[in-house]
Amino acid sequence: MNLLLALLVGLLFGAGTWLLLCQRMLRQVVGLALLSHGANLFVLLSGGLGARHAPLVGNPSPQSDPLPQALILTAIVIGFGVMAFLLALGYRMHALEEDQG
Amino acid sequence: METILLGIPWIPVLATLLAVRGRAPAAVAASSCGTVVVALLALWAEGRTVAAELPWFPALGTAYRLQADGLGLLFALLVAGVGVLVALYAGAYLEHEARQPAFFAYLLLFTGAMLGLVLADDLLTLYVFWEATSVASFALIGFNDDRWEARQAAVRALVVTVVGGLAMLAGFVLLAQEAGTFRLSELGPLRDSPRAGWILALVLAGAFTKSAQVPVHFWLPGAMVAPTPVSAYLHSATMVKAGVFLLLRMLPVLGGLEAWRAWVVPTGLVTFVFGAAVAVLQDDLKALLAYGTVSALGLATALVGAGTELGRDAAVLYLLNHAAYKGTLFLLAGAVEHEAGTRRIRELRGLGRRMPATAALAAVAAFSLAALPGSGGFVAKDAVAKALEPSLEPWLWLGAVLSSAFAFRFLQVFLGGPDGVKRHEPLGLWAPALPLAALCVVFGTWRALPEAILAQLGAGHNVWPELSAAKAVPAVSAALAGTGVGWIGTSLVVRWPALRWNGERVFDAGQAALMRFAESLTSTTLTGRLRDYLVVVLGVAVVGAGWPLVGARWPEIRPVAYEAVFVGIGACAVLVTVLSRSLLGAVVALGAVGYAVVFLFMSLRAPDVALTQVLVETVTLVLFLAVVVHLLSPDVPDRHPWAGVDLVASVCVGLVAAALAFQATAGPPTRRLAEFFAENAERAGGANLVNLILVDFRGLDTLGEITVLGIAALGVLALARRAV
Repeated sequence: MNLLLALLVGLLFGAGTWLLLCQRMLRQVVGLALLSHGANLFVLLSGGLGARHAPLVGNPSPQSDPLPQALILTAIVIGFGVMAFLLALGYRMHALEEDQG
Repeated sequence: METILLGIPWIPVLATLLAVRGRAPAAVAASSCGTVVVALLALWAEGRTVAAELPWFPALGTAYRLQADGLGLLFALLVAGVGVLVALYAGAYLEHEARQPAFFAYLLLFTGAMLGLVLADDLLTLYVFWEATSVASFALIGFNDDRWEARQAAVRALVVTVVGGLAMLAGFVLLAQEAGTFRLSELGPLRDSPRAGWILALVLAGAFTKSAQVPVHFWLPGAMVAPTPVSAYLHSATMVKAGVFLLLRMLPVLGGLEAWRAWVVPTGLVTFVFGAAVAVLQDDLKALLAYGTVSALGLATALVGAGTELGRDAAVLYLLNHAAYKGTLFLLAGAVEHEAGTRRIRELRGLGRRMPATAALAAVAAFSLAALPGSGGFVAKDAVAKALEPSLEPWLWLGAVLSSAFAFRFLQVFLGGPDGVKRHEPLGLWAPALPLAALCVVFGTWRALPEAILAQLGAGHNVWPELSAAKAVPAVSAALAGTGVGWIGTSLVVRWPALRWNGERVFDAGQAALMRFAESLTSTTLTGRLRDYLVVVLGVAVVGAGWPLVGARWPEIRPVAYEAVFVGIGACAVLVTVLSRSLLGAVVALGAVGYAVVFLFMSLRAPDVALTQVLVETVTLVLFLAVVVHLLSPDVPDRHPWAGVDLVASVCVGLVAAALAFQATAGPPTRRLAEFFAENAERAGGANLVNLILVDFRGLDTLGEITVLGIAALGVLALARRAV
């Protein structure tokens, strides 16, 4: 299972990079989204796989590690902010191009 | 006396402060050089070698050390004495120049540096003053900085001499390591070793570039674009002699090496004959003198290369003589140009009637240049003949003929009938040459002068040539032959005015090639395309992160569980995202990837993360769709020609990321922080550890995150509103 998840992480990174290197801006934004999915999964994987319960006080062992989850939560929200900004930027660029030509 | 010695190089430097104020800078320069002459004579009268030092870099074992030994005193007197005359001359020559103060400031800085160079008793002190003379020379060659040739000549001279100077510095450092001291007077003879070979080569690079030896001689004739006082002072009488001076200083240290003779003598002889031959073919008075200087420096180099005491003494006598006659000729060439408006020999005729004093002084100096009996040149050439091996006699004779030839060509401008134009002959343009011309005669008639010089060098032999037919006849015949060659040279120049030999073109081509290389390097590395920079960044990341994985132990593979379904769905969605031709399809597939990740988060027991991801994914999808609907203009090319590179980069990044993620699952994870959070959950007032971390344990992080979101929201607002 760990190998499968690692391969998914690799696929997300590779596909994200591929799209990031292309020349259309919106594709690049899609690539960035894939990359952040890959990074989030990566962080979660590093917290271990064998957990059976969520990290709540009172839950029996083994619980999953709360720290990577907190980090990912922050990352998701920041990633959303970046994505929204990039999309607005793309929208504005497009509007400018239309104005000019 | 010690204090006076230490202060000598700084007298002209301090005088620059007076010179730049602009009130009679020529007088300031001349009187400061005169002060130096008096100080030097006081040191001479002391009758012993005065040495003094100030601490400079004690940790390096180097100091500001000066020493007034015979050789140093002789050259310092030359520098300061000619300095007085040149300063007086320049006052008249640059009468109408608005930037006189700046000119004299550079000249005085040069004088100070040159005095420091010849009096230095420390390798690094010598080096610093050496480079200072190069910089002053740069400023003076390029003095007429509105002319391209002047600027370019200054750059050529600077690059050649400074590159040589840097090589010399490396040689000095090696030498000091080998000898254990930077102090010149403490250096003993070096034994033959590979290291000694390097030292010799590097030091010779410095000496040869400074003294314009073939093939790097070209900067010296080019430097003739400088105002004539500069040509007379720096590029004839003093600075260019620094290279030979360095050879003289290094003679006791490196002169014993086998390679010394093998390198120095041939270089000097080739330069000697080449310079004289090219000089004969020049049409420009100053270029003629410049190639003559190249030739003289070659002979002096060859003499030092002989490695004997006789050679050393002959070189010193020859250089001092050369300063006298060549300085005279340069000053007079400047006078001719100043009054006639041209330096072209072809256009100058019959100046003797109009400028009698100039013509007379030129004749005296030319006699000394041609080494006729009774002149200083004769005494020096005789010493030279004694010092060189008999087998080299033909070279010497050839050189003498060619020297006479270009001496004759110089005098040609005074011969013939007057051209009918009234010329002035200002006192300031010939009187400063008078003492130098007188020196040419005194040197040849008053034996006490050469003897005093030899006594300063500590030589025990006599060089005075008793005049006899056996000596006079070859000298006179060489001069006559030279006159004939001079005639031929004139006709050659008249027939082929473009006849010029120089390495300037090689230098300029090299410079242009360097600039082209820099431009192409810049344009290939700085493309201005983000994508290219990104490939470099990713490449570094792949290598940096992938390197520790080489040869690492891999964790064991755990059995596949039901979550594999979500992994499969996610992988398929990723492929669709990448391969989809339409943007809309890609965006929808991206949403599918997001939801597959949500399920993975859940299966990995991260319910809060999964919840957040569901919300964010949904909103992102809506945003994307909103924008994509607006932007359906697919006329931008999707891929550039290097898609292969992109593919390789992507695959590499993916592989390294997968390998790192796999490695991260090795072994049981540390739970120290998790335990800490669990233990302190009660004090934080909650049960959900992830929430507690976000709002309590790491609350400040969350505050920062909210700030970032706020800024992004403001940006989105600004961008979206303006577009409407």
